[in-house]
Amino acid sequence: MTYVEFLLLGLSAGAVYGLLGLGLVLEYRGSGIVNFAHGAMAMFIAYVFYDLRRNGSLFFPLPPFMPNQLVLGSPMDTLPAAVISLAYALILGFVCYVVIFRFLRTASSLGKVVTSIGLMLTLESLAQLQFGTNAQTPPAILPTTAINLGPELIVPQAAVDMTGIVIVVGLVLWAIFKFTRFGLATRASAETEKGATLVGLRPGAIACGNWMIATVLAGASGILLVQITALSPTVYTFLIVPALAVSLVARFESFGAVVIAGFVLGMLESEVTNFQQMWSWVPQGAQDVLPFIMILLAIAVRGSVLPVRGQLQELRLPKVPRPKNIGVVTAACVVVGLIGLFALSGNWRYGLEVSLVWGFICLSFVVLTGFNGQISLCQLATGGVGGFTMSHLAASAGVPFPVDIIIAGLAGTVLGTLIGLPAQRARGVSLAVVTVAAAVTIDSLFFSNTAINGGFVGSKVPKLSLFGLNLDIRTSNVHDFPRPWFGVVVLVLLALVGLSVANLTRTPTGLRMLAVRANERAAAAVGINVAGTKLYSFMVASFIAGVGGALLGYQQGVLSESTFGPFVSVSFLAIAFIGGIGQVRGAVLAGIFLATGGLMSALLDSAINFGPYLPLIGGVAVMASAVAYPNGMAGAPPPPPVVALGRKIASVVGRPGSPVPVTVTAGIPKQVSQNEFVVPEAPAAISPDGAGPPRGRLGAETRETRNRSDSSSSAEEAGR
Amino acid sequence: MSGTTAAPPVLLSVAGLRVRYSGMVALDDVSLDVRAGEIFGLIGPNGAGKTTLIEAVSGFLPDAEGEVTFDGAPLRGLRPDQRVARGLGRTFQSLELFEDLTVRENLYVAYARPTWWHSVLDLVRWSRWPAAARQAVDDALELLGITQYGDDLPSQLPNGVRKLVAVARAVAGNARLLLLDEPAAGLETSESLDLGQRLRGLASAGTSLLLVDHDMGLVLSVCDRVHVLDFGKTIAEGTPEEIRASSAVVAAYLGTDAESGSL
Repeated sequence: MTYVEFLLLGLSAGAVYGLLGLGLVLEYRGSGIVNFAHGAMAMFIAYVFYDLRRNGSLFFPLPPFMPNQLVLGSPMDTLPAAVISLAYALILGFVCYVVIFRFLRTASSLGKVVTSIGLMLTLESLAQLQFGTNAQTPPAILPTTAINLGPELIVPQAAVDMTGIVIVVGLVLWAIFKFTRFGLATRASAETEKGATLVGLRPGAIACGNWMIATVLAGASGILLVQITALSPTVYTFLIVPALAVSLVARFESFGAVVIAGFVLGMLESEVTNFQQMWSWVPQGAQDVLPFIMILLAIAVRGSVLPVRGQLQELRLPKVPRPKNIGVVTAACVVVGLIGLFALSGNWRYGLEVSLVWGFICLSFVVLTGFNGQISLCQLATGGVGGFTMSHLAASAGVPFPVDIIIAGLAGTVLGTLIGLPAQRARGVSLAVVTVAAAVTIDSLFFSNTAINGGFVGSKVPKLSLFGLNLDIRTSNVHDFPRPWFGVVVLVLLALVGLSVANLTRTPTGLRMLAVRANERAAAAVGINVAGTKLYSFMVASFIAGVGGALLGYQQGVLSESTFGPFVSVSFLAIAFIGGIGQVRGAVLAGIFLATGGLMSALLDSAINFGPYLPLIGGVAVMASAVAYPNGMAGAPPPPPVVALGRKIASVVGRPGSPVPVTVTAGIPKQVSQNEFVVPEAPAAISPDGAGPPRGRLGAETRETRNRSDSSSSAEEAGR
Repeated sequence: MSGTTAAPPVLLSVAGLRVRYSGMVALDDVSLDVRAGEIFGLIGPNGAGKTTLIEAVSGFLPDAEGEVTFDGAPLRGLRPDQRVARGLGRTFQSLELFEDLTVRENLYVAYARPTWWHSVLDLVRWSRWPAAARQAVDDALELLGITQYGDDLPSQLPNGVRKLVAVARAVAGNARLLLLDEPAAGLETSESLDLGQRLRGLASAGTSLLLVDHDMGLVLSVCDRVHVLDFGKTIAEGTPEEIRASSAVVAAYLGTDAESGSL
């Protein structure tokens, strides 16, 4: 009887998955966006609800140093709190669509994925800043009684209620889509936006409406979730994975299938926890594997599962410039890096070393996502496999540096190959779904296993030494920390691998990766083995990630689960994207400016104690960047003061090797689209690439790729 | 190579090709032979199944029934890229250029076929295009008369040039037989004539062509033999003169597509 009982217990979780899934389907059908922030929205509304119930105050999505709470009075009852929260959700959905997602109709899948990740990071860090990371247990909202179904078979009243709610919601949505004008219009514009526009529908308004309903459903899921699990930012946010699984099974289309798949998943998960109690060999975290299996099955059965939407315009992919003078530029960067490592000290030097490590890891995204267009949200999981392999090998077998990091890279490659296999059938957003589920699976099966992560003290990493030279970041003397030699090692590796990656874009292999990214059909038609090329990208990127994970181990001295958790994996795709995912210097910029604990965060921290806000800034920056600068920092027009300075320098010095300066009628060139610049009055001479001097301390590298970046050709065009 | 009497060998042989799209029969028992060195025309009204035939032969429709042999070897079960490796190139009606690769790179990526071993080496060795590759790319550009556009991105080029780039890319792939899907669609008469010249040049350089087009003037003036499809079935095959005189062809065109019926 316990089998049946556990199945019934799973009804509540299943109902929540179904409810979340329904929202995802609405968002996708309304706007073509798979919203990775859907779980975060549920989490956020759950906190709003919690704050109303517990404190009677209304929480606004602002950081704590601003007035972000409106005190309404004493703690509220369930019903008014729920009504206010859902109304709040309605507005949140409206704002999210109008301010952010409205602009993504012509963005690439990558841009869409990254933007929703940005929203996820933003909501998550807002909740963390306000309420902390500890789990909260708000009072139950549904009756906690149980129904007796027979001898030794009881089912909680709440599970029955929640089941009823999700079935009713599913039926209502089905009826709306079947019988109302709004539903018909949504179906029409999902089929072809152009056609819908031609017959007088407004796809924007339709999408907005769907987003509002979807956010309300997310809010309802969040509020109901309180019934079955304690409220915490990360747990709720990552309920996106089972929600994606059930939506994918339903092809992001059928409401009925979503609800059914939700119940199946919830009940199976519950049954697996039963097995865990019965048989010791069922590993902890096994229930988290089920959504991954569900996703893999859906992909295996259906192939490229998402129905194609009729798009209005061509999609914008991040630029991949073919750099010139790679050797000189790299040498210059190494010199600047060395000066930085020895000139800085304390936290700033440590920040730089952290930045170099993360820059190295971001190279993995450049290869896989930038060059080959494969969206992977589990690169840090790959890095983790490398890192833990290294730490265990070094501890048990005494494998020395640099053999250990190569083995770490190979371990990453093995995992990357396994993940690359489903990538043969899933592309774009579907692949992002597969990989985020893979990240969660790897985390719960391996990284959270104390035999692997070393338990409370973490998995020790040995000292870094080469031929008897101590290159480690620490010595026994605490005042010696951080030593620059570790940074030198990472800098050298970053330079070598960076050279290799930059050079790749000029080789037949690199061009094949770009060709596959641009057009798989055409690639096959010119003789490119598409599947092989994708697998190759996965292998190379995973090798880099594996080595990066090992370097992260040396930097931290100890590895733990949190180093490589799914949240880190997901955020670093976004961070690499803002840096500029199509170029090596984008990875370096991402490491320096955006990585948590990196140079920029060290500077911010010491200047205005702004460290805790960096994730929030990062999240907002991700959204802004994805909307305004699809090519990231590395491809964005330089900020105005730099342009002005650049003009001066260019007019005085000129630039060796560059063509004659072009005069454009330019104040600040404003990029309006990929190849167009709008230039306001003020005539001025700027260098032909419109670059000005390199930004930041990244000297020469900034300059070299800029020569080939598209802002150059655009500025020239504007001058003609 | 071939004497005046003996016909050149068959390069591509299609026998009993049948393709169904969800219930509808797109190609019904079509058979044709393309001989080495010839320009073989494939015409027919809209929906006749011309593009479907190219898709099936180039391996994009793995479920097609019937036998396709190239250079004596059956192609069944081969992926598109494997067919290209055997010398069977194609273009698309919609061109499908790699928009973020320059014209030269578009051609180079079709020319270069790195093995997995080369791909590993590409990670560690300094890359310069080999002289042979440069030469092959330049030759293909010159053959199509688009050398001056080599360093542009395809999106910057006018439509007529883009069409030539698509053909040049297939040529750079060292194809022995090119399947050209409507290379002249949307071109002006003078451009179309010019294209005809260039295709002749290609054929005399040793590449066989299977040419699908709506431009009857082009097809009938450059092709050695012409095959006519209507509703997925063969209705005629012969020299351009024979096709011009065929009553079945005239009926098919006038009956369904009067606009292009000016024979």
